[in-house]
Order: sequence, then structure tokens, then C-alpha cells
Amino acid sequence: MEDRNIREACGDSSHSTDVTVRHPLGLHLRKSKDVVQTASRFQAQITAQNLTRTSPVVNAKSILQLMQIQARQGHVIRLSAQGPDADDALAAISLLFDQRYYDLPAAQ
Amino acid sequence: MVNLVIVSHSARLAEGVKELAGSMIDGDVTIIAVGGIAEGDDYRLGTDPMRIHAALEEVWSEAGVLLLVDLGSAVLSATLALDFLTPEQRATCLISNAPLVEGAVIAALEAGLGHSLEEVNQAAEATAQFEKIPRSLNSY
Repeated sequence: MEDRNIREACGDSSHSTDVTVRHPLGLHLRKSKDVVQTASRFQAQITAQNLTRTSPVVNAKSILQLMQIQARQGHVIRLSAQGPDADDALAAISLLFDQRYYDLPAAQ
Repeated sequence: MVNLVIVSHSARLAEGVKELAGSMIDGDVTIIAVGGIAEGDDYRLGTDPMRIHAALEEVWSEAGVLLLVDLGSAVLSATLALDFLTPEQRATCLISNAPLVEGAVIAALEAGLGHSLEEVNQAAEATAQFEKIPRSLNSY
């Protein structure tokens, strides 16, 4: 805990969370767009990895890289963020994968 | 923000690309579709430098304009249209080497994020190397 506090004080906190793709079309073009637009609002470096496919770790601010992890319905994606606003970034992006908000546009 | 001009031989294709790319925008980006050659009330296949020039005049801003083109005479007509601009306008207009559909979609997203003309074009051109079906991933 003490280590974590020190890391956070240095603005170097690294966090991750796993989300499941619920949509029948998977992580489709417009959903990927929402992820990129949301991720771009944060300073943190944010990555995504398709754990189901053991894909490479890609930059969540790049739509081409997100499309390349080929996330289908049921796949689990690990989102990781590093930087001062890492927690907020992960919370905002995770929300996009919440079924209740799935077909709503990204919060502005 | 960077604005986009879509140039295609087909008016319907240009409009369709504009529609798709427009769905990617979160911001104040303008896209103009310039397709075909006017013939009566309709358009035949081809490209018209004067209409491309008019579109450039309409969307030009200091942030710049990226032109996304299909093939052949679309490139020639776009180049000609650039020659009608003032040197100041010409300096911030760029014809992208990107594939039309993929390039326009990515360019619209990147432009909407407020990225520079060079950044928008780089992202658009990267689509030329994009593997739609990555061979390296497990196939389920």
C-alpha cells in the first residue's frame, strides 16, 4: 500500500481492469471510436489487450490498433492505464462496455 | 480543426464515404463530398477540378484540409484544384495517399480529436498497411 501511495504521488500509478464485450457485433467500428474518443480525453497512457485471443497489447487511443485485437462478443479485454488520471480513464472506458450504456454515444 | 474533402468518380460513393466518416466525428469537423461530373440534374462518373476547388474554398481553415481521393483522375483533378488556391491556402491542403474509405473514416475521427493536418494524414495513410484479418491472432 505504501509503495502504491509513493507511485501515485509520483504520478506513476498503473492500473488495469477487465471488461467483457457484450455486443453481438463485438467491438465494432463505432464502439471503437467511442473508446478512442473517451481515452483521448485523458493524459494517461491507456492500452487494451484481448485476453481471449491473447492479442498484442495495443494503444487504446488508436482505432486501427483497437480494431486489430478483433474483439468478438464474449471476449474479455484487459484495459490498463498509467498516469495521473489512470483510474478515471479506466472508469470512463469501462462504462462504455456496460450493457446498460452500450448503444449510447460516449459521454462528452 | 482539420476539414475533409472526399473526391470520388462516383457522386454516390463520395456521399456514402462522407456519411460513414461523418459518424466518427466528435467535434467541429466539416466533410464535403465531391463526386462525379454534373450532367443535367444528375452526375455521371468522373471528377471535376472546379467543384473540388469550390469545396476547398468552402472548408478551408488555418488548421488545414485533407483531401481523400479514389484513383486516377481524382488525383489529377485534386492536384489541379489545389493550383487554383492562394499560396497561403495551398500551404495547408494535403492530398492523402490513404485508401478512400478507410482513410476517410480514420481521418474524420482524428480530425475530430483536434489533431494536426500531418497527424490526421499519418493516421489515414496507416490504413494502407492495416490488416483487416490479422493472421497472427487465434482464429476463434
